[in-house]
Amino acid sequence: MAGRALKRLMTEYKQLTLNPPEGIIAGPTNEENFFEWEALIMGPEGTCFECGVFPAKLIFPPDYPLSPPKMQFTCEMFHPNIYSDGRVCISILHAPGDDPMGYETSAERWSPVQSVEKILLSVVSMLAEPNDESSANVDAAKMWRDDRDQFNKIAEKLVRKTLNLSYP
Amino acid sequence: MTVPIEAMYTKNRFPSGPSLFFLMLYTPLGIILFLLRIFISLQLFLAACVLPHNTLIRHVVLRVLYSVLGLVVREESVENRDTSCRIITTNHITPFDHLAVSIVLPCVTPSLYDLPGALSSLLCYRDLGVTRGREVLRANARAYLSNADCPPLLLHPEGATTSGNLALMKYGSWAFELNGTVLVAGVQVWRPPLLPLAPSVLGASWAADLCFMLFSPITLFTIRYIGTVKRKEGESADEFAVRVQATTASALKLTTSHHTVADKVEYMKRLAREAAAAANPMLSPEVHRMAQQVQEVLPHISIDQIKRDLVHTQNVDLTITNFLEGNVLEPVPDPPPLPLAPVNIPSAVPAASSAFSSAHKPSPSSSSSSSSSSPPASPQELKGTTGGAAASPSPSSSSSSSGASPKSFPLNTAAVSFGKSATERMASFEMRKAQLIENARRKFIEKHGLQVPGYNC
Repeated sequence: MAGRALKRLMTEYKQLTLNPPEGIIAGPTNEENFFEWEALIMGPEGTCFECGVFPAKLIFPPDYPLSPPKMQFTCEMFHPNIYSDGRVCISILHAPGDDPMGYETSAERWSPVQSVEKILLSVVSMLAEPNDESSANVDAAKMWRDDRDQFNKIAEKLVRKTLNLSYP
Repeated sequence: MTVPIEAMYTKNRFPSGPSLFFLMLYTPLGIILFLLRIFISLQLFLAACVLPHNTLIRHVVLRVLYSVLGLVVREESVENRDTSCRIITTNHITPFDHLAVSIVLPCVTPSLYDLPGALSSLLCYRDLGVTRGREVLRANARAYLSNADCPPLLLHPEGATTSGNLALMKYGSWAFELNGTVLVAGVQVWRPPLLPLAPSVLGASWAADLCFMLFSPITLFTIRYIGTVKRKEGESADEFAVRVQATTASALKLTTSHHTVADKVEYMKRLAREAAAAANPMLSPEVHRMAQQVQEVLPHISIDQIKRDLVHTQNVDLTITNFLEGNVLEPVPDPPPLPLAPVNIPSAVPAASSAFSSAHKPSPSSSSSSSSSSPPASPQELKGTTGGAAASPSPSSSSSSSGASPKSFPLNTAAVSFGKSATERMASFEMRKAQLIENARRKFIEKHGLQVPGYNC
């Protein structure tokens, strides 16, 4: 089983190396453990996360691609759909059946035809358009709704942090 | 009790186990017997053709002919034999049942084939228009039965042959609509236990059954007269059929079943489908199941291609490896290019165009306006550009060129090639990560007009 997962991960790694989506990079942190990946995701242009390069780690189960990987940002994040510990709350990371929030359609759930690339693209679109209905970070969701300026300021601070630029 | 349809018929002509050994020993003898019988029976057959109808000599010749064929008939319970009955019904085991009955009790059976008249009457067939539909058959049968000089009509209400060992098929009702009284008889076929060749197997033609009859030392038909059964007052043809079936079954020590001719045809079709699946592994459910496992790992490869490889390998992991390493006979299509980003990202299009514009423009005069309106580069150009950007490790070399053309920081993180070794790949990965952060940093500084030492001062 793990052999198949490994082969699939290798295929995806190759695909992501040679033909990655814009502003996304992903691969195993250390090839001695192919089940732990690191990804860099650039904040989408025209949003408050623009230019930020956010690192995240992806942990794959041994029965990948039957089960989805887990994804967690390793930098500080402030976003309605990201828990304070960096875990990402997004439907594509959930297999149909386990529905922590209760209103995801199974169309956008994890299945073996999904891929790391699709997960990362979903995360990019999540950064661009937070879903404040399924909030993993209540404070962030509240601020996103009520005080967008403050939210944008915090986001810019985070962006500068990832780029190692001091905030004025 | 319902009998499964599989159990109703014989599928294999040949025995298994020690009997097969005897069969092999017997085969040379059987072939000689077969050839001799063909020659002798042809002559007798021709003689019977020219002899006049309904004469003793013709009857004797036919009897000898059938004996030469190895077809021997025995009668049982002769006290129930009733020659005045106009309809005889028996169960159906081989295509020769009616010949066996006609030896001991002159009769004809509706012909299923379009035979010439002489041959037809020699083989005890009578054309009653079976092929022209049930109504024609019924009318013809009534007309035939009204002529008292003709021999009785022999019918097989089952409509198809069974193995004769377990159960009778459902008796069709049409045979019981014609006349009040039928002579019910049972047929049993016996061959020497040392050479238990099945008299008839599922889907075999009458010619094959005939060949094996000529090959076998003897085929003994036992006709057991069960007696005349009269249709009761107010009894429907269906009820009458059921009663006759039950009577026949109990006399032959068989059970009854509800399988009809249509069920047998369906069953034969199913067997044919299964055989086709076995002959063409692309259709087998096992290969399909394995192909789905492969597709879970390699979703971009079509199921047909996977199956074609699986047919050779019979192994999921081997096939996956074959596709990954390109060891397949056919070219594997590249994974379909995914959209750069979902539509709901507002910046997807500008970001793409900024990636297309080169970071390595030779002249600094190609300003932002020209680069933003320049047409997208061809894939080769793009690859060279992005590869060059990814391959330039020192930030200073890229800063010197990209600094001259603002808003053209390559955000494409593609590598020129996928390294062969892990070290190579990891080095490339680290480098591309650093490159992406560096480019994002430059873009941010540019955009916000920051003054950062080492970048724009």
